[in-house]
Amino acid sequence: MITTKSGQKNKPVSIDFNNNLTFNTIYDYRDFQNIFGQGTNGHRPMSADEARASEQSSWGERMDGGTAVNFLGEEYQYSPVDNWSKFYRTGISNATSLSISGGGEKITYRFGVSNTYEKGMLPNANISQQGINMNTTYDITKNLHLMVNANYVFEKNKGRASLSDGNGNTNAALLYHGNSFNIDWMKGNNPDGLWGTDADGNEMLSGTNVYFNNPYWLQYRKVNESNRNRLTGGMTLKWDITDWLYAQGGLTRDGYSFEFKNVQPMGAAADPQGFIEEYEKNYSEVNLNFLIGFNKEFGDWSIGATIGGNRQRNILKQWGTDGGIRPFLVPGFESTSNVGNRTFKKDYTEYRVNSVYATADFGFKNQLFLNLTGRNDWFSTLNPENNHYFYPSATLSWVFSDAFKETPEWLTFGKVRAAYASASNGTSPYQNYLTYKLSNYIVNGQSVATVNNSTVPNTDLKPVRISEYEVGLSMAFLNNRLSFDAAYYHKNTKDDIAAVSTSSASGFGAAIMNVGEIENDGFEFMLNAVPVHTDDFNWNSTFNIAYNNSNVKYLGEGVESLSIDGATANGGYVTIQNIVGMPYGQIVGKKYARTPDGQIIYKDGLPQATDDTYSLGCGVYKVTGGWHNEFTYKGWTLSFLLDFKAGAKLFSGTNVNLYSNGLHKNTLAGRGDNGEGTIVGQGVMMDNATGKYVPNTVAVDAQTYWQSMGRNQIAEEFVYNANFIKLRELSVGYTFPQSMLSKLKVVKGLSVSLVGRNLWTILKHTDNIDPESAYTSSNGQGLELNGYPATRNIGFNLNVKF
Amino acid sequence: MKKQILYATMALALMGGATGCSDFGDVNNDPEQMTPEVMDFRYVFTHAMTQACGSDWDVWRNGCIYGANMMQHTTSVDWAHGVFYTYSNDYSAAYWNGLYSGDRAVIRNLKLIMDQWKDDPQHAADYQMCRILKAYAFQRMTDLYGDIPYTEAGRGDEGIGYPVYDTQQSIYLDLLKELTEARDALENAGASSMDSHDVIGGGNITTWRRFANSLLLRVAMRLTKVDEKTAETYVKNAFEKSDLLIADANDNIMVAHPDGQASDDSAEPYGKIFCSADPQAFFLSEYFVDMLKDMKDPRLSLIGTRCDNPSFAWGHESFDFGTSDPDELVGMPVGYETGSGDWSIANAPGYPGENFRSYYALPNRYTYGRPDVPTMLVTAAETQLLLAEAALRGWVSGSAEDYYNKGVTAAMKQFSLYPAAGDLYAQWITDANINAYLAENPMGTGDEAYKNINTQYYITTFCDEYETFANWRRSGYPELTPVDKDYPNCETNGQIIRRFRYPLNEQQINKANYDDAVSKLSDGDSFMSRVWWDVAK
Repeated sequence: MITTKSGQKNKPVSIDFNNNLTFNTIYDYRDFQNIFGQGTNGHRPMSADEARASEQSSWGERMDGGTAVNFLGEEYQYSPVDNWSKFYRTGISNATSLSISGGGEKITYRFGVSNTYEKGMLPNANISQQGINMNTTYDITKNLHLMVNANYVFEKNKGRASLSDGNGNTNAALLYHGNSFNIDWMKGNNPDGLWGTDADGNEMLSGTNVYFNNPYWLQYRKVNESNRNRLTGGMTLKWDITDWLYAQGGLTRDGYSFEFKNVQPMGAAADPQGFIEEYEKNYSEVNLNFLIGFNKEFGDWSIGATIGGNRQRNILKQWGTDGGIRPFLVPGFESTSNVGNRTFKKDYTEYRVNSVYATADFGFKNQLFLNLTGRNDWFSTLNPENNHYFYPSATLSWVFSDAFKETPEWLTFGKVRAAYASASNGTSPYQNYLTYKLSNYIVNGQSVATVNNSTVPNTDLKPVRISEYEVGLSMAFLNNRLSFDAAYYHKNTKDDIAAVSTSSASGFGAAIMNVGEIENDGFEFMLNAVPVHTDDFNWNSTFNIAYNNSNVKYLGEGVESLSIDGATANGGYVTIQNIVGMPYGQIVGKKYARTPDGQIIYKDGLPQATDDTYSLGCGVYKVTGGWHNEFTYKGWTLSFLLDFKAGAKLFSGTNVNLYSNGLHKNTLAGRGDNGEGTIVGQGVMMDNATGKYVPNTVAVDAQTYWQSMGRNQIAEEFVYNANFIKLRELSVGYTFPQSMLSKLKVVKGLSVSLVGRNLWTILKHTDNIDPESAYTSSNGQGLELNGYPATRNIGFNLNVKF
Repeated sequence: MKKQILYATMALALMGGATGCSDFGDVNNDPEQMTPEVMDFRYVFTHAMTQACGSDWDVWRNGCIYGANMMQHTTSVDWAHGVFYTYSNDYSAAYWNGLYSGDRAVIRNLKLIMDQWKDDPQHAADYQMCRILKAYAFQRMTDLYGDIPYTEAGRGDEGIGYPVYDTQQSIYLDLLKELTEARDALENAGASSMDSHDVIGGGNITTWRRFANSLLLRVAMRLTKVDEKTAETYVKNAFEKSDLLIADANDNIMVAHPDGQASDDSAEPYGKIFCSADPQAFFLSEYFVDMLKDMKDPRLSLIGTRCDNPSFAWGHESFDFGTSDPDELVGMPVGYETGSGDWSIANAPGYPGENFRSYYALPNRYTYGRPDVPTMLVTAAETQLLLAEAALRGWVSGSAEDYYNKGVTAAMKQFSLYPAAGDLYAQWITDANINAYLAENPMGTGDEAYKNINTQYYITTFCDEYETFANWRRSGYPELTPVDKDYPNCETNGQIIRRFRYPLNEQQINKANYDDAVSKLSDGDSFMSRVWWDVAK
């Protein structure tokens, strides 16, 4: 149920104006070594060719301010440079909204408009958004009420950053350059001022890797723009048949139309002929529902019941080019009409869910409550012979503080509850058979076709069965000066539908399956206290913490572990797996090969990896929570929020690259003064003569040594503790008192506030990255690579009521 | 009141009826995609034919960065992997990933087509043709990796997500059986319904029987080190139908790409790499060019070229087609890289300076280095040269020298199949030049004969690098010199790679079967373990 703000009956018109101005800056987690500059094997680049060969390599010499040569052949001063402060700028976003609300005898209304403009931190990136919304209720007759709401938002977005390790990730382009590299060189020397372009009109690269792009080219030449119109709304008609029986029916609709255009001009290093991708996507979700409700009191008892149903229909359509179409024929004109091979694609996806549900609520003396619900869903995405699921729930609660005639003064409220609930879900549509598609090229005059699916469909998918029971206790003391809520739950998920990785030799990378049984249990606790409360000053403090522990109980006959699809890192040597008997989401990879007493085994001076893979930790947090404090003094309010998460590990692909490139501080060990030093690993090596382990004495140059952990796939080195504590929000505000406002007759309320978010990471264990920077939010959490840098925001808010 | 309850009940019944249905009809059928009922699988078979030789995805990685460089047909200072034998999972596993799964998956697609056509009398001949193409693809896969999934491969749609690895020995025995059976079944299977969809043979049954029989000869001869008896049996079997062994270059089994574009898979894969994807990275090696020069080989001008500016990609107005004058063709020395380290190309003898990319020879841009040329699957040259070796062993009748001469001649005349090379062909590949060459480079006797036959095989399999790699391992010729073993991260202790490593994620995802296969390898899952038929001699 979505509730939106509505007006109130018989109130004069009121106007609400709000403006929020926020500044966004990068929270720079980098802690790179700043001693050795660009180069390889302890040499600085002294020719354009050498500079190109070492574009991502910081294994050069000490940065002594002397002379070195860059990829353009120019001499420059060999000193540290911070490219982030040169390239990223301070983002600004301003959001304004205005609303009018009021009500008469029969009607209440609220209308609003809003406008937001955001200048992004990446250059040439911005978002602009306008919105209109409306919410009204109208009494057609005394017993017939009509409620209508609508919300329309139009958004235009330009310069979105792409997140990946391939072509187009601006953030990756800024992370890995050699340590003395100055990003200003990549602006290009094209006379038409086309940034990132060289004199021939091509993307200016600083090396030979066509996937390590020029960030100026990506932001200024490679265009991406999108428009989105979103219309959400609904209409409900309610008929009060009697004062204890009502019926209502309604329709809600959420949908948007999205236009997207992505242009890679001619001359791009990875796509010399350029390409254009343009499409329109239309999405809508329509729900038709009805509800009949009953509410009556009989003496000490109150009884309520409802029965209803819902028809949901989701449609997604996409029309446009088949990916990026190419090549451009006439240089400089970037439109689909200027393409040699114009291919077109239409995608259509539809699914439906039909539901019937009922609830019954019983109350005794307003103290003891029993709520029962039952729901049956039919999913169009499942096998017709087994496509529905019935799930009931029951909650019993007792406000025991009302039970006794004489409760102590200090006990304000106490409630205990126990509940059982179940739920289900369908899956994505069209999982029933393989489909084929014609490829968009011909060979020798003949068209060709291939299989469309990369995931094996499954006609036998069953609904997911989720069941949970929970017990909880809420109490309040001393007139709500102190209160807490504690709950314990146990949840069991059977036949979860997930895509599991399969061997590529099976012809498919993944298969959709019902994957066995997973158990979750945990507790949630919230404590609220008002330590100080006087007429003028109030201090309210809330602490909450949640702990969840999962266990994979069963994955299938004889199956010990399953890889989660889409969750592999850096060439496949780390995956996220569900392993029977362990919490779900284990990070699996190789460790250092060690002797039984724990010494690392070296061969030719380089650490070795175990042959086998092991679980290196869980990618999912066990503990989350926060602490919020608010101080008010007369009209002033000061508040801050700390939050924390613990119990997870993170495999950082970025740090693998930082070792390989020589930017990580650990790689300083062994370099020596001129960058040509050697390092002897602390551990043992095999003495071939005796067949026993002896202390390692082989010296290797620092570059080869520190690159070996990535090459030998020793994932253990790059798995970090992802726990953190952050100062999430700090705000100061002032609400002008009525006494001051009454002088300005029109203004009825005025408040201002200053809010800062993500201001400070108090504790973290990850090197060079934000502990919250995992790159996938699906089932496969725990992997990170080249994420968008974290941001700090400081904003100023003004609210005026007329 | 009663009336109101009546209305309420009616409304309830109406709305209940409207929502409570479980019949969704066709909603869960994608209206925009072709289902197996609707699909014409001939298009999928054509797709498999054009992809069986590989696409630029695997050819760039396993074929050029590793294959051609490590066989020293070409060399590169930009890619260390095939030059210094270092490891990259992406490059080593590209052929596996590209042919088993994904858009281009030949093995999976052939399996699905064969499921459709198995009992369909209209496609009886086509079914046999699929068996032949499947054998071709699997032979290459097992030659590259060793023991691989075979009987359980490509069957993800049947629920087999984690296939077992079959031994190479069992695979080879099955390939021999498949090829003999398909060749013989085609005789009576009626006409093919492929027509022009068949880009290899145009629906001609004899072409496919020739394909099966010549491939049978190749598969059988691969076993000369490990199982001479089986090799001899099947060589004789193939020779019994000697009219089905390719003798004329015009009968080469190949896929032409007359409309090849460098922007998609319509291109010849090696051609696309050499002219568009990586136009100035792969140079002909000093070893290869010197070999051709020593033999006074007229093919040198059709294999190599020198470009003043090789950086422009195919389609650019300044694309440089180069000069084929043999006096200007110099091969790049093997074992160097860019940059300023110990192995910098600047240290190479005869280094011409910073503009070395305009000095060394590249693959010729009228023959191999363009997207609109044919890919050879099985050629007359290869077949005749293998017959020469079989004759030397006494397995087939006829003079080994005759087969050798026929093979070399076919290798020369093969260049007439490259549509843009007409002028060069007329200039260099004359009957007089061929005869002079054969007089200058006769087959010889004894070990010399084996060396010459297989050196000719090496020359003619340029741009079929997987075949070059397999025959080099089998025959031991030509005698290549590996590169410096001290290069950091060299995985082979200074030897040339003997097989490719399994993809990394097989160890994670298909662990039990992977571990079982690796336990049978002499050096674990490394470049140095040898496949079954590659016995160390």
